[in-house]
Amino acid sequence: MSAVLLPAPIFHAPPRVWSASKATVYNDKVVRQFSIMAVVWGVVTMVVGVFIAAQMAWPELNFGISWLSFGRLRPLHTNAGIFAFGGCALFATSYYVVQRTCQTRIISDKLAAFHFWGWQVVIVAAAISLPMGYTRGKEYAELEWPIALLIAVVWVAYAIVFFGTIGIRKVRHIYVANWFYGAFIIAVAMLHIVNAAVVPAGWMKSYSAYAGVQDAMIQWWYGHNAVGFLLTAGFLGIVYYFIPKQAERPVYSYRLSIVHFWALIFTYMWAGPHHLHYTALPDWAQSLGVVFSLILLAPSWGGMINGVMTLSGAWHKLRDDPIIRFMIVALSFYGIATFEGPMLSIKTVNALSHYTDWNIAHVHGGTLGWVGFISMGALYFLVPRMFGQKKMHSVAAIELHFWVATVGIVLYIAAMWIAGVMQGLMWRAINPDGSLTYTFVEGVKATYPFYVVRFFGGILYMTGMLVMAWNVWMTARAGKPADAPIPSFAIPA
Amino acid sequence: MDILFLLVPLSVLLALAVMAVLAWAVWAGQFEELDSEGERILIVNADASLIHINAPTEVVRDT
Repeated sequence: MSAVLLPAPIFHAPPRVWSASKATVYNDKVVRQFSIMAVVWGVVTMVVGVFIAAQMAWPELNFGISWLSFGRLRPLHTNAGIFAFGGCALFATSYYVVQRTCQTRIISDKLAAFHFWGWQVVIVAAAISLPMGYTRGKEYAELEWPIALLIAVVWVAYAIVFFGTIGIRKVRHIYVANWFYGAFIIAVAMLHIVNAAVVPAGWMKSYSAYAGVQDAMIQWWYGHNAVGFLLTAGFLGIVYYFIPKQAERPVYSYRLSIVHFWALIFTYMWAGPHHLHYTALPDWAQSLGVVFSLILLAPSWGGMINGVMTLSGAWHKLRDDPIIRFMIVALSFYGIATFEGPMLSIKTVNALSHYTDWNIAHVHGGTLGWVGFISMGALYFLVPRMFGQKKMHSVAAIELHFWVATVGIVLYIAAMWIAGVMQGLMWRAINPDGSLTYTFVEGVKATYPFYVVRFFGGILYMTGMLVMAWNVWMTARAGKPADAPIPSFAIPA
Repeated sequence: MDILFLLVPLSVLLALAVMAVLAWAVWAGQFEELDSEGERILIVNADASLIHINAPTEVVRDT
C-alpha cells in the first residue's frame, strides 16, 4: 500500500458551480455550525436548569415575575436540553458521519443550510414563547402549532439531505451508525406529526385532536419513543462512529452492533404505557408496556457492553485520554439508565417511584450522564477537526471538565434518588388507624436539603460546560474553518 | 380506549415496515462481509486535513 499525498487542506468554501457529486471536500460548514450551537445551547440549557433547581430549594427566586416562574422555565430547560443541545449535537455528528462513511459530500448544501437556520429559528421561537406562557401542555411537545409546523418542515429537509446522501454513497455498505441516525430521523418525524395533531384556535393557541386518556396514551407513546429514538438511537449513532475513531480501534463486535440496532427498533415502540401506570389506561396496555420495557434491557446492555469492549486491549486509553473517558462513562450511564428504566416500569416499583424525584434522578442519569457526556466526547473530537487543529486548545481543561461534571452528576442523582425513595415512603406511610402519617408538605420540607445538594451538583455540571465553551472558543480562535477533502479524490503519487 | 385501535395497527404496520427494510438490507448484501466493515472507518482516512497522508481506498460503486 503506497501512501498518497493530498493537497493542502482547503480553508475556504468550495466553488459554488460544483454539484455535490463532483465536490472534492466534505460540507463541514454545517457540521461546524451545529457543533458550535450545540455548545452554545448546552450552556443556555444548563444555566436555566441550575436556576430552576435553585427555585425548587428557594421558591422566592421567581421574584413574582410570571415569565421567570418554574412552570414556564422548566419546559424551556427540557426543550433546550433535548432539541437545542441534543438536537444540534445529533445534527452535527450525523452530517459528519454520513459524509465520511459514504465518502461523498451531502446531497444539498442549500437544504442543509435551511436545516441549520430553520432549527435555530425554532429554538429562538421556543425561548421566547415558552416563558411568555404559550404551551400545548404536552411534555417535551410544548411548542405551539406554528412552531410545531416549522419543526416538521425543517425535519423533512434534514431527512432529504441525510437519506439523499446515503442514496449517492460511494461505499456499498451502509455503516451501522447511519442506521441508528436514520431510525432516529424517521421515528421522530412520525412521532412529532402524530402527537402534534391539533385544532388551532388562534395563532398561539390550539386544542389536541385527542381527548382524555386517549390524549395521554398518544402523549406517552410520543414521549417514550422520543426518549427511545432521539435520546437513545441518535446518540448510539455517535457511539458507533466516534468511540472507534477516538479509540482508533474497530467496534468490539460489528455483528452485535447490527443485532443491537434491529432488536432496539423492533422493541422500543410499545414501552410508552409504563408512563401511565395506575391511570385510566386499560391494565393490559399497562402490562404490555412493562413487558416491552423489560425486553429492552437485553439489546440496551448488549449495545453498552459492545461499546465499552471496543477498548478491549487498550484500556490504558481510559486513563490517558479524557475524550475516550467522556464516551465510556457515557456508556456506563446508558447502562445504569437502561437498567433503572425497566425496573421503574415494573408496576410495584412504579407504585413507589412514580411522581417522586426518583424519576428526576433517572432522567438526569440519562441526560447528564449518557446524552451529555457522549455529545461532549463527540464535540471534543469534532471541534479541532472543524477548525484545522490537531487537538483542543487545552487537554487539561477537558480533564477538568470531565471530573467537575462527573462529581456534579453523582451529587445530582444521589440526592434525587434518596429524595425520591423518601418521598415515596412518606406518601404511603399509614398510621394504625388508617390515616396518613405525613402531610404532603412534610415531604416537601424533608426534601429541602436534597434540593440544595442537587443545586450544587447542577452548578458543577454547568461549570464543566462553561469550561468546555471557553476551550471551544480558544480552539476555534486559534484555527480557521477547515473542510476536509474526500479521500477518493486523492491524487495517486 | 379507541386510540389503541389506531396505535396498535400503526405499530404493527411500523414493525412490518422495519421487517421490509431488514429484508432489503439482507437481500442487498448489506451484511455479507461484516468483518471488514467495522474497520473501514479507521482505514479510510476521513481526517486527511490533519495529517495529509491517505491510504488508497477501494471505492465500490453500488450496482
